[in-house]
Amino acid sequence: MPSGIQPALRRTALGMIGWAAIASSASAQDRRDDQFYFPGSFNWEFLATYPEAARLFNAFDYGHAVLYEKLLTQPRDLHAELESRQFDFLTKDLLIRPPRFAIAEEVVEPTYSKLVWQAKQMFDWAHLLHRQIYDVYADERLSPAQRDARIEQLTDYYLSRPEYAFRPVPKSMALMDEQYYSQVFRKGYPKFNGLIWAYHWLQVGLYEPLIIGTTRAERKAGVQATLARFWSMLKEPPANMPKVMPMTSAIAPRFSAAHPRAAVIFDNLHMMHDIISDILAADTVPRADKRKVIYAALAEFRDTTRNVMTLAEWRGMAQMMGGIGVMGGPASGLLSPLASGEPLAGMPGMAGVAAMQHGAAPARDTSSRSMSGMVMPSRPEPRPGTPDSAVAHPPMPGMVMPEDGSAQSKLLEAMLRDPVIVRRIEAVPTLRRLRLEGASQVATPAVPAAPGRSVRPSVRVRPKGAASRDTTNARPKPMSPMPGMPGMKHP
Amino acid sequence: MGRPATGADGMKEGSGQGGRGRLLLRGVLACLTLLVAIPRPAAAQIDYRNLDDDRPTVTEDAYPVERYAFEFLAPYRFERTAGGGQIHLTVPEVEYGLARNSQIGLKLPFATIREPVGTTGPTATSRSGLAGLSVFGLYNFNTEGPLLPAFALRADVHFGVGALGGSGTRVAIKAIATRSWGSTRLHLNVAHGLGSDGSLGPIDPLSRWSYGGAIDQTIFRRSLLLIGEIYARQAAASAPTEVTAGVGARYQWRPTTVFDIGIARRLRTDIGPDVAVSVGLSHAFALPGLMPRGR
Repeated sequence: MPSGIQPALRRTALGMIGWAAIASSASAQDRRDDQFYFPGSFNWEFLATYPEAARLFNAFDYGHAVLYEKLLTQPRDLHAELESRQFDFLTKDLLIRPPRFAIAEEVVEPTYSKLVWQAKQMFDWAHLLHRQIYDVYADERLSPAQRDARIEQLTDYYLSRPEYAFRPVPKSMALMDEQYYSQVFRKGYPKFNGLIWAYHWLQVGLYEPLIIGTTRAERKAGVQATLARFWSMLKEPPANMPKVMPMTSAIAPRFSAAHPRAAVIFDNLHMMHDIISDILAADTVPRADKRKVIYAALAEFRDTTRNVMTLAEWRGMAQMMGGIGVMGGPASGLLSPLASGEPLAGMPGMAGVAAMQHGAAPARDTSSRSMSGMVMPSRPEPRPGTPDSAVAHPPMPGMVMPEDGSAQSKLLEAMLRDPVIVRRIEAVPTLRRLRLEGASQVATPAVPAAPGRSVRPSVRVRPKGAASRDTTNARPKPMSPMPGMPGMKHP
Repeated sequence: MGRPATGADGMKEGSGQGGRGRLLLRGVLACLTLLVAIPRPAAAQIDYRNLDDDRPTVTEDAYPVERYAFEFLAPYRFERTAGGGQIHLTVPEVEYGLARNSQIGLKLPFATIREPVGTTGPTATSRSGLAGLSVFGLYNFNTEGPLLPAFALRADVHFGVGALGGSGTRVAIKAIATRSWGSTRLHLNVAHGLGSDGSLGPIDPLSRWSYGGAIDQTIFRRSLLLIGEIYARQAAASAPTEVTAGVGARYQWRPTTVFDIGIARRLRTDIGPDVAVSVGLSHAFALPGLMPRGR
């Protein structure tokens, strides 16, 4: 070895020792542990085929991130910050013009990310599963059986990281509702909390039209209908938002039946979202303890031996929580067909819609009640042997709505007067195209050119909701005692 | 690091191969075309924040690619040196997230050097060829916490192969730190190279010393990263220190593809590039056969 190298080696060795000392301190911190998603040609199909929905999910990520950051850093006038400024930014700007790609959440929640990186990783990992399942459903090259197999494969891959995976075992709702910090956020910030629950409603509910639709056009129309239902939730917040956490088994019954592991994972994920909001918002958890309490909750959700429910109990949970009506209503079957075989004017692909024989209720929610502020007609009984369909779109342009002054007609008119919905329709090329096509077939446009303009519908639409009566002031049904649910408290 | 050497006398090495510049450019274009045409199987939508060395600035961040991810990079760099020479350089590179919080990689730089009139004779000359081969590994110790930044250690080995690769082997160790404040991040890089100074090729990938810092700003709605840096390096123990300033941007073009562009200029009159411009694409993917099967 050349002699000149030896001093350099010594210097380097000393430098490395110093660096190792720093690194050993660093190792006491969280590890980064980023891991790539499962590869396959299905990836990014959802973004390519349904950009108006996929991009919304990017905005949802921002909503979660900014919420945690604000709750943790406690800016002055936190209530106004969340319930007014951030809420308005989200609903009037970011959701209208969502980012093309996933956002870098560390940018939005830097303090939170540094404090509880493990929580961020667990959420990211579950959101990735969410996204990839959407990609599978959006991949038109896959048969239904191939989709199901691929989703199970993705779930296996998700579970291969036990340190970051929510387990596919239903956890007790008491973990969310019965802790000393529980429900602080939802009571203190009802608008933002309702927005988060609306996010979760859409994130699981959008699976249904993708499962129900038998053609690409049907799936497209179904997705648009479910999106429209989501937008209607943002009107007069929080009146039209879910009143309790949407349960996947209720909002996405077909998906839950086909892939119960993933459905349970998503419910656990959404519970954990609420739990972290409560921990961050609760004064009873000192700032110095928040990381410890959050990490304890994360560990609880990775534990399959304590505070668990059976699948049967989990499936019945939605009913005990008040039914699908208080969770935002069904995500499919939002519209009924016209006379058999009659195409819906102004709606591309709607000829197949009529043939879909809508009417089956995705959630057999016999005691369901509508959301506060929602007017929902009775849901007809499913026709034996016919698939449910979600080709629905209350504010869909080009449609004729009933002009009989019925409650649903008023609801639809009100929705189409909502500037948020109108802006959203104008912002989405597909919706705008549908509006224009619909307008070309009728004397007057169905969607007002400006907020406040009255609506002249052009296609008969019958919204299908959960209840037949006006339940403006409906309250969640008290929970019944549940076997195996320690510490359940009932309102 | 794949940057042209400007401090050593390696410019005198290599064989005259005029006219290869256009071929090199075609090769780069072919690489870029291939990269764009690759089907979209993988990678995160926030790769634009993964600051690779030389893409587009010398400074890199402390985070590796994701575990099981491959990243293929196809950059092109043009540099006009202080003496009037020109360098066209492309450094195809592949990285792989071999294990948790670590990556390995391979670089294969190709260069064309056009020396000005008077350097080697009465007419301008041009030399092209492989400028060595580098392998490297990076290990990240931690993600940043409330107090400490993220730390990483990187080791590079450069083998002097090819017409412009020199004759010896060099090793460099680099310490990297990254700290963020909201949408702004600060990166510090300090590297030390080991090996003989006499064997350097004209395109020196590993300096004797180098240290630099960069600040980047994330514009999350645009999936865009803006970067500014100042970098100092000493190619050989007896060489003057080159100081350059550079700015660049990384843009998430597709879910798995990032476009980057950068420009740099020397801050000292006697050494460093008059101007250096780089553009590149990077594409992330994974191979199903290398993924865990789950349970």
